[in-house]
Amino acid sequence: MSSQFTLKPFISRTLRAVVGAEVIDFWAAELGSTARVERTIARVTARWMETPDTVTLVLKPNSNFPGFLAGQHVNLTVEVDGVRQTRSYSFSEAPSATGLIAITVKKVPNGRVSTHLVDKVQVGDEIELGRPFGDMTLPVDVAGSKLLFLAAGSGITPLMSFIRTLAQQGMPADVTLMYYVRTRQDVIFAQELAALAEQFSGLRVLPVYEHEKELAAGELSGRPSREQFDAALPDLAERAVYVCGPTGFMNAVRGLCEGIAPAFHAEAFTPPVFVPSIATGTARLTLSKSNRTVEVPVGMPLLDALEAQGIKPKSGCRMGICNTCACGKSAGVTRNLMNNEVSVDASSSVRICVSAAVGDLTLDL
Amino acid sequence: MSQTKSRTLTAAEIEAFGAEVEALKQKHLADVGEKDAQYIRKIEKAVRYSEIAGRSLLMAGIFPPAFVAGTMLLGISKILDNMELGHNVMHGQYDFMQDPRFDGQTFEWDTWCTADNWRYSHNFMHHTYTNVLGKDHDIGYGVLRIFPEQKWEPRFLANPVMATLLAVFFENLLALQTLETEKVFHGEKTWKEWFEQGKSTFRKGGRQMLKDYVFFPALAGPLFLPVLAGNFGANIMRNLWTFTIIFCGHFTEDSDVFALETLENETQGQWYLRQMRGSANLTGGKLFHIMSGNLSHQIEHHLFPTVPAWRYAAMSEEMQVIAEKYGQYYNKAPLWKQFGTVVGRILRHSLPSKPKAAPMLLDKGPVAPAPLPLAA
Repeated sequence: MSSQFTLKPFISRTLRAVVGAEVIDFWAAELGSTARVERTIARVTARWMETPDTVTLVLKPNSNFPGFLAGQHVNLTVEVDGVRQTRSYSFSEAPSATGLIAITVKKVPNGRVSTHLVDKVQVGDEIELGRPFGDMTLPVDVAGSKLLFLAAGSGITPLMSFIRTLAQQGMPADVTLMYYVRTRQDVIFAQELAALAEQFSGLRVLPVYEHEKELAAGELSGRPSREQFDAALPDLAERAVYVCGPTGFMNAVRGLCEGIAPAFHAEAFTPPVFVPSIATGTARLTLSKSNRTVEVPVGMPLLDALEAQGIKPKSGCRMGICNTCACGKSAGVTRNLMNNEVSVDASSSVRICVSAAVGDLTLDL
Repeated sequence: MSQTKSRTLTAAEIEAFGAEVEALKQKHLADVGEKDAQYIRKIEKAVRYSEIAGRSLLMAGIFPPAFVAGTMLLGISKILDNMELGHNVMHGQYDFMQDPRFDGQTFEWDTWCTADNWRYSHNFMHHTYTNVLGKDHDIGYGVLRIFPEQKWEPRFLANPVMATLLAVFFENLLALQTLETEKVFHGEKTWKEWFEQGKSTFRKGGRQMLKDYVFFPALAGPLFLPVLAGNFGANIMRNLWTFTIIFCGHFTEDSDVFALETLENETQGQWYLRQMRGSANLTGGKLFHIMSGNLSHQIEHHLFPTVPAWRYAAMSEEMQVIAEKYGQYYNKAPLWKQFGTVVGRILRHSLPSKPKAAPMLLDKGPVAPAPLPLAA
């Protein structure tokens, strides 16, 4: 082994130990590079609008990015008005040898980050990324299998990543996509989907409109229902189902597929809505590490309740996915607002952004 | 009755005072945002650029002008890192940014004292017990007698010597002070416990010495001596400057000390009043304020430790109006004057002295306890 190979890690290790990762990162940034010691920074290399309120951003991440699987998502951090905000977005493109990745963002009304990404972010800007995560991925070998993709609104993004991956492979599977949107102009990737459907006989694309009066051939209308599914999906019993969209949509189609489809994979895109529970009132929340006790409304996500009191626990996507806010619970019962499950274990890890108190409890905060 | 220049306030007046101060704080906190983020990033840039300029010049330190300029620039970098950047960030002033670089809980600074120790001994102990005798360990730093209320012992005859040593080696002795070393001498702690608690500090001190006295000199090869000397000089420069500014904060002639009973059921208004009466400001220009880490606005810093410090200058104008309204003395004077009175205290109280009045006890309301005897 020549000395060339051992010198570089020795220098970088020494530098890190003496000077510190933050200082190295500072100078890398000053010199205009996206390279960092541990953090993943990506530069925006292209952007275009898919619909009037949806943008696709193509990003070139630095060498710390580990790669991703189609269907996964990633925490993205941008600075808006001096404050760093983090949200989760799916990769909309297939994994590519170029190393470029893409996310497609739809502007959410009053959404701080989505508005910033759609309206303000330009080519050349830097964005910080977390690690890709997510369990909704395609099996390695789908040749000959039948798949059903159900998307609503911006939920199309991970499913588009699937479709583009399958297209690269020549569409080895039989895929039906039912894409639920309000009007025709809300269909993201409309042209590409039409072109791919044209190109591959194994791909059937069914846009489903809520508010369009006139439908062309192959277009459906209305919300998910038994009649709609029976008419459009005669072979539902043979299709593995992949769903992505708001929680309500996901629950609706789950009911329609239950007992029929051989497999059901889903990802909810919106945080649970805080519905004031019947049991109103407050619970006593003890923060064992800060030695204080606060009263929080029963049923309100613990993260929101704590922030309302001026306490700022670590948080990330605020949707129960990235685990940044997870903290230990040493006593008490919480309810997971995503799936309504109650956590009775005296000691467990709780994602406070989607969990609410069901009575007095103690957190390691 | 105390020697203070401030009018004695009733309990009701103290609460009214507290409410006005609180309103001032909320007004400024609501304004915190992009401006503050940009400001602290500029300060960080100043720290880094002056550091690299200083260290680079010292590499050529064999030439006297390069040596002087290099040492000064490195000293300025350390001062800014210590005061305007480190101290303020660790108070959580920039936590709102959610930026790990400026996170008060994880920030680490270029000095012996570990950030964790600092957060405990300064953010918690000093800011909570400011100028309360027997609780605020910053009073005299365990080695000096500053106030006549501190019981005189023969060792205090060495006040001037100890003060000089403390000033020159402030970084190192401060790190030891956060370990509460004096407790070992009083039998409240064993050497073993002290060593356990001190491990992280020793490790940090070791790393600091490695960085300034081994690594960077080694980089210069045969020209290591100016680098070594310059790094040492920069550290001393930072020590002397921080000592001077910090000692003016609470030890000037007109600073009040408070009795232990002050802490019982202390209301917000009383807390604000104690913070103001126990602190002193230094007048000066904008550059002076930045170089002092805005500790020149010690009063505002103690009233509003979580507000970004660059705002203290503006808040000071408003605080003086409030202080005047309630007949409270607003302690501000130029550096040379304030430090002069600190030196005066160090000299005077090296000899036995009696306090002229009891330590302060603010009016707690209709059920006020009886006045205290003079013995501290």
